[in-house]
Amino acid sequence: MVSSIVSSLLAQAAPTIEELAEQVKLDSLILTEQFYFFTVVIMWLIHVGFMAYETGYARRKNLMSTAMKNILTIAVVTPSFYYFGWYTYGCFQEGWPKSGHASPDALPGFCGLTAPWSAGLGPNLQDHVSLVFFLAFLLFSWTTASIMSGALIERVRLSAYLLLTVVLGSFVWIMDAAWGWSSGGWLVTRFGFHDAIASLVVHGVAGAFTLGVLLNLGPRIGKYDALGRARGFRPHNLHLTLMGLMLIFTGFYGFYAACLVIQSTVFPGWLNIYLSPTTLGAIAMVITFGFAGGFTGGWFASKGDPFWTLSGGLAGVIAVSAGADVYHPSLAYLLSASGGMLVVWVGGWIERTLRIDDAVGAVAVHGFSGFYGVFLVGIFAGGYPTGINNIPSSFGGQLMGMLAFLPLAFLPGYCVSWLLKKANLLRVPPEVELEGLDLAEFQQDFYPEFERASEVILTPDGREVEAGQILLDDYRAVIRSGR
Amino acid sequence: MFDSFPFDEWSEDIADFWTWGGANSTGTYIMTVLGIILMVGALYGFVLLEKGKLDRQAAMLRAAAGGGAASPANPTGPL
Repeated sequence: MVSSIVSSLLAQAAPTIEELAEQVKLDSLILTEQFYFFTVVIMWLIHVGFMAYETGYARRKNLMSTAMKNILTIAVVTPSFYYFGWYTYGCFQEGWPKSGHASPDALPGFCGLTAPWSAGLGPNLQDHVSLVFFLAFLLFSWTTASIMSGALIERVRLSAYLLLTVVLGSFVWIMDAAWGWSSGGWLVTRFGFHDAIASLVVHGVAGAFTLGVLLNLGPRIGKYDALGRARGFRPHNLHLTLMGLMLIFTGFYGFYAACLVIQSTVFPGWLNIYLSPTTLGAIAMVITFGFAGGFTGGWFASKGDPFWTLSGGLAGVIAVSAGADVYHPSLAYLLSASGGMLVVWVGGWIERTLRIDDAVGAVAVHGFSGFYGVFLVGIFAGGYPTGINNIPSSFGGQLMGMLAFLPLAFLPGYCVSWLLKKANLLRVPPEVELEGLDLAEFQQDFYPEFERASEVILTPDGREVEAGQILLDDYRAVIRSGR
Repeated sequence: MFDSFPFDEWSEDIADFWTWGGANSTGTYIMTVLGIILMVGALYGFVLLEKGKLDRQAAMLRAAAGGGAASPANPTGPL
């Protein structure tokens, strides 16, 4: 009797190899689900950071209209990415889906799982991965869309920004991600295009799109004098801007981690987005050294300017992101220092020579550094096998990616903003811009108990003067020219 | 261990358990279409609502400055 009970308990306590394998598989899937979930949580900090960064950089009269752009980005990009963006990523990796919903060849059937009515995009007890993977990409979309936000502040209409951000966040960037940031993308499978942590596919593309928009949007009233020399506006709270940048940097660790594919039961446990092996430690080292080099480069190139020192850190990281899965930390340190220096000079060139009013330097920091990052991979990671076809990375392959993505990003930004401009929906009326957007949009001052000081402006020769007469003169010039 | 499938009619083969039907069902198609309509309507609403606010404020500022294309009296505004 006793022996039969013991033997039956032993039989229950000793699972078969098959049962153990099932348990390990489920455990691995739950680990994957948790991993992506927490990357999403950390990536929210990027958006907290973008909001603080841009709001601090705005003048007092425009702070809430600036903050609302970042908040409403989530309201519009989330549904548009769910209904259209994710399907674009799943189905357009080969250009046009060759085998319909059975596409792409690299991930058979993935296309069909990305439709909003599919089993992959709703509660599903058999699928622990699809929804969290979608959410990680959604956070990438918010980030891409938000990159444009800061460049346009203080004169763009909130609604125009929201329409543009839908185009950028749910169509443009995700199409280039399908082509060059997936295991089945045609740039990857044919040319070995390598952009592991999205230097170009997120940052470069957002920068190029933004450049197209800025050409139609034009500078803020008072930004340039009659000779075309740049004046400077005083941020209302630079501390808030710097804190925002630090929050973005914190969120970047989540962003970097989410760019990897976790596979805990198969050596080496981690793959990059092209399904080539790497480790979480490798990319974490590169991002950390990227910040160190970028801060250093930005500090020296700007002669200690706080804003450009921190922007240099961001540019440094973006410059090494494309090769973050294979770079040695010392190489990342050197390359990011160059990125941090270059971005200061490029930012100044865009502002002073091209006379494009990019309020936070987004075209330089994200656009230039993104293209620079994939350019560097062609030189410093040439020959490294990329993707399931093991095509070696090459300068030619990287160049092919740049040539594909520049028009893919710039043209939609330019064309959609041109249409909005023609419909008089792109920019706020000049009277409202002069008074400040917050009174028109929200009918209130958001520092009601603070003393109201006169607005100041930095002249091209570096003097700080009262802005009133300068803004008024430029307003009159705007009205006369009808620009 | 908890048995989360205590009922025979719920086997471990269960996959999608959405409201209004499972994947690729009519209910899910209808929900998708309704969601898209809300999204497009919201985008249109953002444009319309803001246009009204900006037009009103700009007209008020022009009127305060004497009408036409005259500038506001205080270029830095009340802030």
